[in-house]
Amino acid sequence: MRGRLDALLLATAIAPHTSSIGLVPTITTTHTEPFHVATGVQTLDYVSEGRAGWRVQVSGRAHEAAHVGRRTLPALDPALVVLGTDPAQTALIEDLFGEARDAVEVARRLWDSWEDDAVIRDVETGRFVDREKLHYIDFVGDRFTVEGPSITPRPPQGQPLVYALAHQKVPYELAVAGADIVGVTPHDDAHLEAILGQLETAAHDVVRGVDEPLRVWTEISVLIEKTVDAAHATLDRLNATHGEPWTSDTVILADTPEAVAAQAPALALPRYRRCPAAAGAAAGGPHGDHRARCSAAACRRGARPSGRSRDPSRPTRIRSPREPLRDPCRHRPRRRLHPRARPDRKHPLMTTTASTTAHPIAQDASGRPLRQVHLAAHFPGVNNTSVWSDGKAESQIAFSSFRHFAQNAERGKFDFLFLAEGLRLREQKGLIHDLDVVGRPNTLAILAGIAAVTEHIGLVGTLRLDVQRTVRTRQAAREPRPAE
Amino acid sequence: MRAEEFVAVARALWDGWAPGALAANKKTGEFLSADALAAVDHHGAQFDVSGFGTLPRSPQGHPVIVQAGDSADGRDFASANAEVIFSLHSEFEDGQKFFRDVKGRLPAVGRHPDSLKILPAATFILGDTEAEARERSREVALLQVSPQTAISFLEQLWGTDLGGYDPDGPLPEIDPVLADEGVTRGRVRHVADPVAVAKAWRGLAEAEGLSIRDLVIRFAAKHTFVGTPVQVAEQINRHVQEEASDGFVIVGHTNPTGLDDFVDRVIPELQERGVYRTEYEPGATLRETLGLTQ
Repeated sequence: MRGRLDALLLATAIAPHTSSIGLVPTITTTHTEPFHVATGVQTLDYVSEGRAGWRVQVSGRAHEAAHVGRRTLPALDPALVVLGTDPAQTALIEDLFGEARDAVEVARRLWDSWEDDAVIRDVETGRFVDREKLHYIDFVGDRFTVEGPSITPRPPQGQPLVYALAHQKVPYELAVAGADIVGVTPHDDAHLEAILGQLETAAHDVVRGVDEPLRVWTEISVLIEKTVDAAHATLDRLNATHGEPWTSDTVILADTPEAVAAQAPALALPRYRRCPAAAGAAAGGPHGDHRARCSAAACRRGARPSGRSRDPSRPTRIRSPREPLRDPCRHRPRRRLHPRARPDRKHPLMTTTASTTAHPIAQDASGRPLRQVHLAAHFPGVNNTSVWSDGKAESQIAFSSFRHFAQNAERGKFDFLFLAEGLRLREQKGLIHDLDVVGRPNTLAILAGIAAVTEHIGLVGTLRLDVQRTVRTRQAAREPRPAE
Repeated sequence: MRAEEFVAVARALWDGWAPGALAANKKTGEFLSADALAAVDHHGAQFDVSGFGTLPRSPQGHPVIVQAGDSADGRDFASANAEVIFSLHSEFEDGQKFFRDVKGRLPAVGRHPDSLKILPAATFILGDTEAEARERSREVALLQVSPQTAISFLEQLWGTDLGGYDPDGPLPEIDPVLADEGVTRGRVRHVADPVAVAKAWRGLAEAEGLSIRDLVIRFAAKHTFVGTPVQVAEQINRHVQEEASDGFVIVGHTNPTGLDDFVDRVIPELQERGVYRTEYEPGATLRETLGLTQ
């Protein structure tokens, strides 16, 4: 199966059509800029109104590296990696996951780089933002440096959820260092005990950079039918079609829904707190099955937080209470539903004769058809002539603003809407300029969200894919130059 | 250069999957048609990309390329690659000149004039009468350019703290400070001779009796179309009929409601004149909506 849509953009497009479920796209850290990943996940959090997560992944395959063309990777041998006997393979894994740890740290710092109340809209002093509440992150690592702050204000959750699937020591350390949830794949109770032991060891070896305890979820693959015999028959049929038995890193449960429901928590370590509502769905294995994630150990004593490691010269931020996505066991308050707003087909702009074809082209005096006017709409989100002091001005970042703007442009039959992009906040006199509207979403991600609430209008954005000081400087072989 | 190569690689990746590459034939077990995928093997000054595109061909095949930027290089890039130019030439005569220049470059690269649309940015203020629109334009401009913004704007040219000056008073008599890098970086850039520019601004302000804030409004908050909905529609239509543009990128002055009045009041006037769609073509791609010829 090949040809899959970008997970972050897909999740962002799904967000306006859902109201409660968390959305956790997989994004690699091997071939992406941490800054873009961070603002992308922040934007998903805005579009979903607080339901965003990020499943951190590394990409170890040499052909993927050739595709992106920014580095060459030696061939990865998963068997050798698991054995841990080949120094080159071990070094590769440590490098990839070390980079992932740095990327998660950068993302978390960027998510905190605006305080929650940074936008003040103070008409008296003319200031849109209180620049004292925006913070450079000044991350300096072996692989990249990122200055910050984010271009995107702190999202509804503050810190979107970070999920890491892990099977061995190095990824366990990534999870302990930076994840909210670690996904594990035990095959039985003894295996789970061993995994928890390894996690505990990891918790002693690395500093946890997250305030909350690490949660451990067991990943299982399920195939359900009305009877256990039917489930086995379906599995046999799929295996026969596939040509070989389905294998997975997880336990495969082919059974009735009731039996799966009974087995899953048992597998997920009964001596820990159970969470009956914890199963979420994610893209699965070769048969298009569902891989459920079951919450197991809610609080691991070995994974107690030891405080975020951050530069003490930088002010620490107070985080707002986390949204319930971060604790699936807690009762989730009812979220305001935002069903897809249908374009108003009865708007007076349209002729009542309901012609579905384009209008007849008018002609000038000599019978020549008139040139047709093309209009695009520019979202006046971030610039120094956006009126923000007016009482009618609304949020420049809430998804409701983008929805209103886009649907209104579509009502006006515009050809396309246009979003500009900038990757750093304007500075003046060495300080962040505080008089203009600042704080914009990741362009591609917000356009994916807008695509979900419009039907006809074209969507165009400036994508600055170059590297700027705010964003990062990866130790690249080439001097980057601006590209639009 | 980098943009040129960037677009070329993107196009190669977009072309990597043939239309109908996804066979997904359950009987034969064939998921991808044979030879449906073309490998990209690009090694250039800017990028190395080798492998297959990861996505099937999208509905448009090639999404529409929009370019903003106005240098001679930018115009060459646009004439070779872009399908829409987001320009800043919204004044009528200037627009005609730009239109002729850019469209005139197209035959040399084998392109039809209608394969590139020129859409300048345009702001607007509406009123029931022209006088009311002008008054409203002034009110909006005062909101756009606060006293603090006016001083900040000047500081970018002057390169020094002007906090002591009255935004409603005359321009500073002192000359700009040239050395201070940190302040000049910003919106007003590429000013070769700030002292001369300051002198010109001072002259303009004295001649027309403009305060600091008035002058900054003149530069930063001058609205492209100010008038009744009929007047604005007629001005837009004139630009298009007389080839000063193919249309406009409309920029509302506030968020997110800045476009509402335009949609409610100007669009019907354009539709009345038979120069603007009353419906989208069902299922049209952006390329089709724009009327881009291949």
